[in-house]
Amino acid sequence: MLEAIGLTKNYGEVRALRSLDLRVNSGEIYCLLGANGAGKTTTLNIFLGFVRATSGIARIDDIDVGQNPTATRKRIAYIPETVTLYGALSGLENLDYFSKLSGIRHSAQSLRAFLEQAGLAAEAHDRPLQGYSKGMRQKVGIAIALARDAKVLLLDEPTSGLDPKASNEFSQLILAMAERGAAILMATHDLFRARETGTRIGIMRDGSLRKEFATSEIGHRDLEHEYLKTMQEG
Amino acid sequence: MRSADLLVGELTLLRREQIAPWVLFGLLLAMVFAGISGRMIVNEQRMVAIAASEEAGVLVDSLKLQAAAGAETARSPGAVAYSVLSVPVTKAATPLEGLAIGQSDLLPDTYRLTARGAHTFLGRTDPENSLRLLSGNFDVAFLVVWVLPLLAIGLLFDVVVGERERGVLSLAMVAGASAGRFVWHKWWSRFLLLAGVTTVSIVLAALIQEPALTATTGYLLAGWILTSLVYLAFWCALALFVSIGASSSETAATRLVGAWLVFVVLVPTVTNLIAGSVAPPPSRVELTATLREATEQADKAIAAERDRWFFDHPDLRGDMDRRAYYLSVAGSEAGIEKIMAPLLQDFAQNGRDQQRVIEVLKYLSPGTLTFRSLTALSGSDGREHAKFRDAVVVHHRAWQEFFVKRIESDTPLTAEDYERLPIFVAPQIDERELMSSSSIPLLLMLVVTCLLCRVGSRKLRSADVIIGTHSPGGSR
Repeated sequence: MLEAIGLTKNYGEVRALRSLDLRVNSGEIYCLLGANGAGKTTTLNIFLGFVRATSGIARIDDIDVGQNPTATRKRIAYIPETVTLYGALSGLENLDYFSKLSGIRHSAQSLRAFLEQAGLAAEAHDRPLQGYSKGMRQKVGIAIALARDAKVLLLDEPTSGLDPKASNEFSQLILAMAERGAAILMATHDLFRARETGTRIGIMRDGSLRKEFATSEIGHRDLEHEYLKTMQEG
Repeated sequence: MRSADLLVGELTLLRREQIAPWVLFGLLLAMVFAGISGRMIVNEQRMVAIAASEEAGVLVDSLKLQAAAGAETARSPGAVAYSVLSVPVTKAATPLEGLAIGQSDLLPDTYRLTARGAHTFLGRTDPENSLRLLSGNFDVAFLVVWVLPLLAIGLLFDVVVGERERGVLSLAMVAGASAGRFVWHKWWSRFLLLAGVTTVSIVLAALIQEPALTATTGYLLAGWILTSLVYLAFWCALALFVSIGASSSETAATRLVGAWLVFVVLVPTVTNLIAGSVAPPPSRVELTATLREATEQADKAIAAERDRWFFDHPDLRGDMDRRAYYLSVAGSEAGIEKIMAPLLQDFAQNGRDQQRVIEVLKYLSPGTLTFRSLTALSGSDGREHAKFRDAVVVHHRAWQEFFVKRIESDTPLTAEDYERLPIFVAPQIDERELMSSSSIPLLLMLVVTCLLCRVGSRKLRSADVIIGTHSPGGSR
């Protein structure tokens, strides 16, 4: 479970987040929509423990991120917009490296199983990552999350630059992880993917959460309309 | 994650990237080649010195035999002193001279002495090998001072900024590693690789110079390795420091190459220019003109005697008053020497003044600091040459005295006298003194390195380093 209560972040004079309240339960996929500078990445960075909130509380599994970022990070997997990883290493070696970084040792067989679960074809496992497409790299990122058995998944514009097929495959993986009980917070510009994948959608502007919908309550056209309306509001 | 796992992961990464192994292998090869090149240059100089020394030995032996047989010229102290005998004196060979040629091709390693004035050998200005002087020396010191920093920059410029750009730094932190620990393992693995290859290649290059390692060689070699590694650590620390603060890998690389240009190329050049301006060398034209004038004056003084004596072939005029003639030659030489001494002293003093200026300014550049330490440890720097020159001047006085005393007392030379000729004892390298004089620059570089690492470590705790600098209006 992931929770933000009155979360505020100021960068000098600039207010990046204004009293954000947010809750993502286990098995939920919460999609944060908003233009550049809306505060999506700042929200993720606070949950990741990279940035300290000016005020308010960010909690993961009821643990305060600001108080104990090391403990909360153990519960998180993170996929940034660009999962470049190490091009000279194969997908399998990258997964092994980042699993070991987490203090987890998996057998080669288990690692291959994670890569397959993440949708990476077996013949690609031993190829250097520099020959991978962005979608394939994202799959390695998912495999890293699977290998860590993360309870919370934070995604920062994970489908940007992916072709529709790769984007759809990625969504299916996210849905599978949510079904296993992971709480997923995804910052994205992709309205269509948010509507298709998310359980709930929040629209952010100027650091605050302006609107929130359950995806079951809103269609694609209405979502686009609401989004554009929020962006045009004074 | 265990440290060993991190280090092994890093080494696998470096091996797979394929650049590092080739670069390190290239460094090893270049160092060995530089060692061979240095050995060849030193060998060439030593061979010339040995040949000259053997030639002089044969001449002395032959004169000894002739003196024993009663030959006029061999028995005449004046003829031997001023016309027949010249002996080479050579700077003591140092074990690691070939690793840093230093000023050995600018300042003479050998002087050819006669009983004539010191100006006859101290005024010598022709370099050993003008072609090599033009192209520069390819030696191990050159590779350490010029090339090693570039390799450190190449392997470490993106150690932080590159990981941030690849998204690896944030992934590593989420995986539970602290940014500091993660980055330091990367830093150490690269530094240890470079340090290992540098150490092995310096040892190999040293073995090429001196296959039988003595205690002295070992001591100097340890100094050489220590100095090179501290210099390497400085550049690695600077690369880390710049990589932490840079907004992109390109910016980091550009800043570091700029730092290399400033510290390795620009500051040493400016240092030399300043040394030349603060202590400009006396005029060589004046030296030559004064020598000519002094020689003319002396010539006039002994003109009467010279008329009666054919200078180059004294044996042709057996009825001369040899003592009177050679006393006048000695007087003439003393006169020229007296006129020339202040000028030669000016040149020597100028060398010392320039060295003093550089001694102060060397602290502006780790490159100059390291180069001076390495040439000092190799015994090829200006200081060792000055020591050698001073010892030659003292020896020359003894050489002159040996003959002038016999000319004054009109004592013919005997075979035994040839065995009693003053022997030049070249000053030996004092490894402990060298180490202690190199220790201050070494400590200073170490302090700066530690400072860079400490500030870097602090910065690694900042969020900006992990996720990039936030700017209002940027992507948040």
